[in-house]
Amino acid sequence: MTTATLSRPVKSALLGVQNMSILVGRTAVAMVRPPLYWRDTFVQMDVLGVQSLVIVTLTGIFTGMVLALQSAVQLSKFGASLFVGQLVGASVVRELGPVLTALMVSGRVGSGIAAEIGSMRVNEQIDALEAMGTDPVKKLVKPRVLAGIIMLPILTIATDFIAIIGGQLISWLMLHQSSSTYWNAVWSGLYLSDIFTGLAKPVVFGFVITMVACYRGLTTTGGTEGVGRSTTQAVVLSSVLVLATDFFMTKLFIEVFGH
Amino acid sequence: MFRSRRKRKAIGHPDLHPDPQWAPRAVPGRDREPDPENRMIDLEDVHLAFGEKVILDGIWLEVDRGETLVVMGGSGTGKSTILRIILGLLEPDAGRVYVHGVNIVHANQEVLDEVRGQMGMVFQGGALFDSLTVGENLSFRLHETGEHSDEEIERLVEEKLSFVDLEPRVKNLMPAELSGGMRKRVAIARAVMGSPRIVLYDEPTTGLDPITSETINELINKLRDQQNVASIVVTHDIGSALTVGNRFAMLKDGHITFEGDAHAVRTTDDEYMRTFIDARMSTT
Ligand SMILES: Nc1ncnc2c1ncn2[C@@H]1O[C@H](COP(=O)(O)OP(=O)(O)O)[C@@H](O)[C@H]1O
Ligand SMILES: [Mg+2]
Repeated sequence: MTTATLSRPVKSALLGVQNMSILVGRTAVAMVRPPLYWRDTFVQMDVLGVQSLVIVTLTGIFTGMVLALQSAVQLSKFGASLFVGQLVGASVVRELGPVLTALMVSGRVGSGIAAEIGSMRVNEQIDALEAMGTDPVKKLVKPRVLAGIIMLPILTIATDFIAIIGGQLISWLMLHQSSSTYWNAVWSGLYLSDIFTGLAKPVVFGFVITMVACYRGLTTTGGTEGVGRSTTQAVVLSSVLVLATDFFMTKLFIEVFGH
Repeated sequence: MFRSRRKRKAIGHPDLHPDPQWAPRAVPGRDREPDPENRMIDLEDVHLAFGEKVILDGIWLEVDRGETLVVMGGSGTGKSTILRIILGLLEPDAGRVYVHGVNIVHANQEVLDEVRGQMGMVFQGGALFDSLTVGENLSFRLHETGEHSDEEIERLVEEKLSFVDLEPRVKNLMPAELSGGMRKRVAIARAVMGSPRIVLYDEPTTGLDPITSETINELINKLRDQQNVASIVVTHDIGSALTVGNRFAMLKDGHITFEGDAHAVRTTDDEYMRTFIDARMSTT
């Protein structure tokens, strides 16, 4: 099949991938070039990280509790309720912590970034930046992507920790387990490599979420309505990409670490 | 946006010298020889299409120092696009765009930045940065280049605010707190912060009441007469056009279909031009 016969949606998708790749490349170059815009970066770290703590706490506590609840019911049937901590710890640190944190941040922050940059685009503020000699990639994209890469691992640690506490609450209330029994089980379920993979994932997710949101923001067209569209698309696309990259990274880590 | 940014070290900016190929075109219907020293903008045979849709199909325009060119035309004909091309925000598919003799088509980033430093743009809605105060909006470019002291910047901000008849205290306001007319003035003040030699206005009076429009027109003229800047004003507003313009151009179907001075506008027998003027005159 030649390009001439490609349908319009396929063409525009390919063009999107191409433009996104160019933006990723330019962001990578901008990372190692001045100016640093450290103030913008700190502001974004606050928006993305500190202001996400509440949502991440709630996500963590309920996730841990429901995991412990499900496993307590199943495992007690086999008299294996001692393994509740193991199950909660392993699933949270390896998968649920990174993925759920990323999905929450994508909903909260990805949409915010796409809306903010999108309205700057339709109000010609991006053009104004460029006309005044400021590279929007350095000024807007770089601080957000940096904040994503730095803050998502930290948020994930918070989610993991709070989820495990949530599990502890249930194991104490339902199974009357002592704190040390529970935490011993948690530790025994974790490999050292889990800590590594559990932190490598959010770095990538932080990059994916902020990059997609910035891209959708910058490519917004069609006035205020367009901003709404961009916002929704940013959340949908980054959520799907988070789940997809999670699968491939997990596959890769299993190949490398053997578990 | 996604054009690659060529980085080539231009030692002493050799590219900023006028292109040897460049010879300013004589303005049609004007009797004097073009003076390369005074010629600020030359568009030569500029073509641009978005996908299949041809927007500009061979545009020729020129503006001298101390002169205001008004570009008129219906909505969506490509007036804003012309301004974006002059700023180097969009690259034309073909043609040459000279800013004081420097061709900015395919120019590297450094040349573009240098050339943009000589231009101020007043965007249609003002395009003020929402998250910054008026003062921070005005000093944005100076802070970015980092070549000025804080006191100097402060002084310039107040000077430019007073130029557009705004009090110094306005610098502490946020853009959301400004009226439409004030926004436009702040946008003009921001555009002239770097004392540009070229100022571009995108529909500066659209959406403003007649009185406020008049004050904006006066500002445009004051800037031309006091600072001898070359200006391009894109507008629908024929009243405003006749107040600020020295020369007039009509953009239609990708071409400049009319070009001339105020007298030529009033006496034209170009049918589209006549309809355009009469329709606008009767609505305002
Ligand atoms: N980035 C773009 N991509 C595709 N089409 C565009 C783009 N920018 C402008 N256009 C189209 O080009 C035409 C001219 O736009 P514009 O220069 O903004 O018109 P106006 O004369 O009203 O200022 C319009 O039809 C607009 O839809
Ligand atoms: Mg326009």
